[in-house]
Amino acid sequence: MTAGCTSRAFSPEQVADARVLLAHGSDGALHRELFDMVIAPALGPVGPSGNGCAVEETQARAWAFATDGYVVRPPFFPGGDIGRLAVSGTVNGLATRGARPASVALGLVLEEGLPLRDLSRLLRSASAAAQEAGVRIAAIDTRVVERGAADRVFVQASGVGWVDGEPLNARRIRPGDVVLVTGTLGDHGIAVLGERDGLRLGCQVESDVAPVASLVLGLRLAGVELHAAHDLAGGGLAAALHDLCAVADQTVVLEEDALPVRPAVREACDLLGLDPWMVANEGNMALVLPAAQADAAVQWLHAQARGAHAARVGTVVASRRQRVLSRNAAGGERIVPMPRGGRFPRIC
Amino acid sequence: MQNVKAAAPGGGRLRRRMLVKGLVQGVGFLPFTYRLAAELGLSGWVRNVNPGVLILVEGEPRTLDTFERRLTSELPAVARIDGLQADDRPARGPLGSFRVRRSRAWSEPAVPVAPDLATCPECAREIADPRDRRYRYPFTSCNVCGPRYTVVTQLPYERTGTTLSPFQPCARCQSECDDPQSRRFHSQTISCPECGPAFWIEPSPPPSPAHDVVAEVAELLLGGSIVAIKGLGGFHLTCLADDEQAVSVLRRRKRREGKPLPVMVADLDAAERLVHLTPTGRALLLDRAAPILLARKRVTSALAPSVAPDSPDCGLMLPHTPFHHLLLADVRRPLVMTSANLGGDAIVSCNEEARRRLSGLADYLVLHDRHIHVACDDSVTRLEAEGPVPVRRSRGYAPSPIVLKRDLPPILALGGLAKATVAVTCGRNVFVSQHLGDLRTGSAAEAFHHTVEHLLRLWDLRPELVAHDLDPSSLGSMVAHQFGGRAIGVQHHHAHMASVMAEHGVVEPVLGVCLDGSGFRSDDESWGGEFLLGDAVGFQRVASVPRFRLPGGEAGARYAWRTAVGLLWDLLGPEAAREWTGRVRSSQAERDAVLSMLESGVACTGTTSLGRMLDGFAAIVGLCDHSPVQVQAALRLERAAGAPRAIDTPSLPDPRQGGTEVVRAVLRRLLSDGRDPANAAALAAWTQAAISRWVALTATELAACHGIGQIVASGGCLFNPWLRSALRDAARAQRLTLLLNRFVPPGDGGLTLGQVYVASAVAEGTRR
Repeated sequence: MTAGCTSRAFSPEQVADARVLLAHGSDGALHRELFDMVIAPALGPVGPSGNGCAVEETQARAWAFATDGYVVRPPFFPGGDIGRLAVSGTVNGLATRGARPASVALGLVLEEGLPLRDLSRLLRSASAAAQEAGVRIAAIDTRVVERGAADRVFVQASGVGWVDGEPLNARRIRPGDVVLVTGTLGDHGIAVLGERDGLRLGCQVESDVAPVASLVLGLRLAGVELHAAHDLAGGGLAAALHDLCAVADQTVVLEEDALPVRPAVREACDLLGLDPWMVANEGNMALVLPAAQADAAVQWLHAQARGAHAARVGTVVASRRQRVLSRNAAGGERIVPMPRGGRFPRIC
Repeated sequence: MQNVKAAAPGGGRLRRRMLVKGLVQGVGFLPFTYRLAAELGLSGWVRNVNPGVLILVEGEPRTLDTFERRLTSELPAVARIDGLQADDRPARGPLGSFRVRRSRAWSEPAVPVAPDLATCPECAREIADPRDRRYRYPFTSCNVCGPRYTVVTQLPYERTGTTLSPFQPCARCQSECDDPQSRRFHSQTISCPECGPAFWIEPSPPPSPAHDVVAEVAELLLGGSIVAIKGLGGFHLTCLADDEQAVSVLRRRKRREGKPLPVMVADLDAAERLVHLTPTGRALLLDRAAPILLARKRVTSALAPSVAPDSPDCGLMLPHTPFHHLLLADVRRPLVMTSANLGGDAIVSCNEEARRRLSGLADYLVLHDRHIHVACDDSVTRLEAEGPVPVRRSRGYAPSPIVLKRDLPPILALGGLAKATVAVTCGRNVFVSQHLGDLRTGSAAEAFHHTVEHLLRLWDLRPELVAHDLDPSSLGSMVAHQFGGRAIGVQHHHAHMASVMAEHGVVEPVLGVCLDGSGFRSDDESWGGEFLLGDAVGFQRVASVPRFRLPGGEAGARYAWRTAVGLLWDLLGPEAAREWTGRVRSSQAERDAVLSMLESGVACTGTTSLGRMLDGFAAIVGLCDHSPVQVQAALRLERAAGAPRAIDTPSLPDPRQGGTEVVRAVLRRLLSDGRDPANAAALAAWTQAAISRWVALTATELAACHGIGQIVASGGCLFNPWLRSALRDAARAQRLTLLLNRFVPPGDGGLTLGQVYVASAVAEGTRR
């Protein structure tokens, strides 16, 4: 037990100034207090009923499970924070198989000294994202590590959902299928990089982080046949398409001029030496569907708030040696490589 | 050469079996052998086999010796004998009158495939002669000219192993093939208007009095059209080179800004009217490889300004197919003849692809029905003081082998990223492929796979070693493990150095001076101004250009001013960088962003590239604006500087202070004098002199201090005349040997030869 630890670290009024203590992770009473005073109020109605295992009832036939770690630096960025990111990312992950998300569970690793108002803020935004997505945060856990052993806050998020109808699967992708994206490319990655270490990109880009499972489910409810979906987290559209093509053993040819990219993101990419398709989104999906369905899908998406910039960006062709290519207006084809990590870690 | 000659008892008749290796197929060697044997009254036969040509002759020993001597001394100009094995035994009875037999596949596969050969003077005369049956026939060829590498599908070389196999020779062609006195005796590419392939135009041109396709194309061009013409190794985009309107439209459609467009002229006289030619230059234009020669434009040249807007030089070539000969004779004006490709893509070579991809670029497509099996861009050559140096080694040269001094294990070398080539080895031969383009484009990647498979299959090779660049994002690295052999990663600049060592057969340690734009070292670090001490097995980096960072990495280096900011920040400090950045005519936000990248270190990669450094200098001298550059900024500095000449030495920074101090001194002078555009040329020359002097002194001092007698210099910057002449002068003054590339480009097209040399040395080292 750390010296100087008292049984009551703060009063509700003091939350604004208090910080996470190492003892919040090890002292049962303090831990309970953190839950009652900070976590539960921040999560609100979608939060867990207790600080432990949740029990949910359902008649679902097929369950979907997903889990992801979130280590974004910095944890607060234009358009969102790590709380919203963890819930959105997990929900979107479930939706890639066509699952309706039901509940998520969050495991937080807090660095000693994290201001409690930051903790409260990120949890409130996690709660808002959960309400948007119509899911419950069924379970939550917190751990505290010494200063320097973590960078402010890391989140491990897991989610469950159920699948109505046939799960989406990259194996269903066929030559002639069309690739759509539901929003503009690269917003999240650029928003995060723009906050890094005194970098002044001179552009106002907000992260697109949002739960967009409703777009996938809504399309299916509207009668659009989807073959596969992939989120654009991590390595952006390029990584998503490489993943899908590897499973499907097909090739995708993108139309460079059709890619929806905000001018500010384009400028930032130009400065950083990146292509927009390498940069992550957290509220954007790549969808693969039969060409005959594409127009209806785009039309439906355009009527949704989070699908306003949806666009048809490419076509599936029979497998070539190159998995993903991008064709410019003159007809030249560039290889879109699988993004290799290293230069820009911790985007999500 | 090994000769086992039995003593002939009593001077009796002998039967001599001769296996001739080298460039002996598809170059008229068989008919030559036939005529020689017939002339000497020898009996026997000759045939193509996989390793070369096999001859069996019987006759008096003296006659046989004469035959052998004249076989090696009088062989056709294009042919080359690399080895001749002969063994004698007593004559065993009549072999019958000498004849040419059908070729036969052997298990030992080593025969080189001939490169494509420009139309010979005899064939050119035939197509211009109204009395000849091949008058204006655009596929005329003979034993010493015509398509070879681009049409060969398998070995040994004969018609069924070429894309001419669907065209059955007519009776008259067949009788030429059978006639030992004919230039087309046993020709595999023989055809005529009756039986051969044909040209046509899509869409059909407007009706005209023109009597054949060539004349129709000439009229379209004279009318200002842009025409895509299928040639030997792919399509060219063609228009009148003296019509500014046509050239600028072509440039716009091809999205090619800045870079000179190659021009084809009818003959040497027409060439002389456009450019200055030396005797070597004239000889090179007439060479059977018919490369594009880079030559100095005449002030009075009739070329449209858009042909080579930024350059004092222009690329020129003479007709290399009958179609080109006829077209140039009809048009009587110079024609732009640029590869039909789009920004680094591989050249378009098949009809379907041309219809799909060139319809928007060209007004008309001129197609023919002889399939191009291997697409092959034009070769480009520059004349240096040492002689011709390939800038791009492709049509007319590929796949002629670079012959090394000793046998190599079977090696596949996969090359680099841009200006890619691949290579395979067989015995002492290194077969370096044609230019494949930028492997980051889909079509070049397809050409890469096709060429690797084709070359391995041609000679039935199973590579023991697979050499590739260390860059994990290069196509070669990604596929190196697919070929079964041992994969050996070769550092980019080590391969450059080894390419020169391979050409000159050097095995002892050398000092390698490797100067280029960039080569992979690690994800965050690229090299490009390296002094390497070592041999083919390994190296030690003993000096380099001072390191600085590129904001935005290699992609950011398209903007020379951003490179300049990185250079200033890391060598003169943030204040100098900020102050100069304030002068750049870019937005405040963009300038601030670039500075913040250097300040935070985010998205910056380190480099020791000489090319990038020269880019930065060019920007500070004021030779580049704030937009991305199509032509390398370093090239602008080189052009502004003019020809290398003596610069007042005391004004130059003392190279003994070391690279960092020299670069700092250059930057300080550029900052103080670089504002005045009137000063640019003098400043560019001074900068070139200062840097070249440092490079040359560093090279010679390092060689001296390590007791090395040979300096090896390679990399794309070796085309910079200032660097080249400084190295040459310094080596001469210090009595050191300076070795340079002669057969493969010093740029990335030559990497495969170096990779082969390193891989074989490494494998040998590990076996021992």
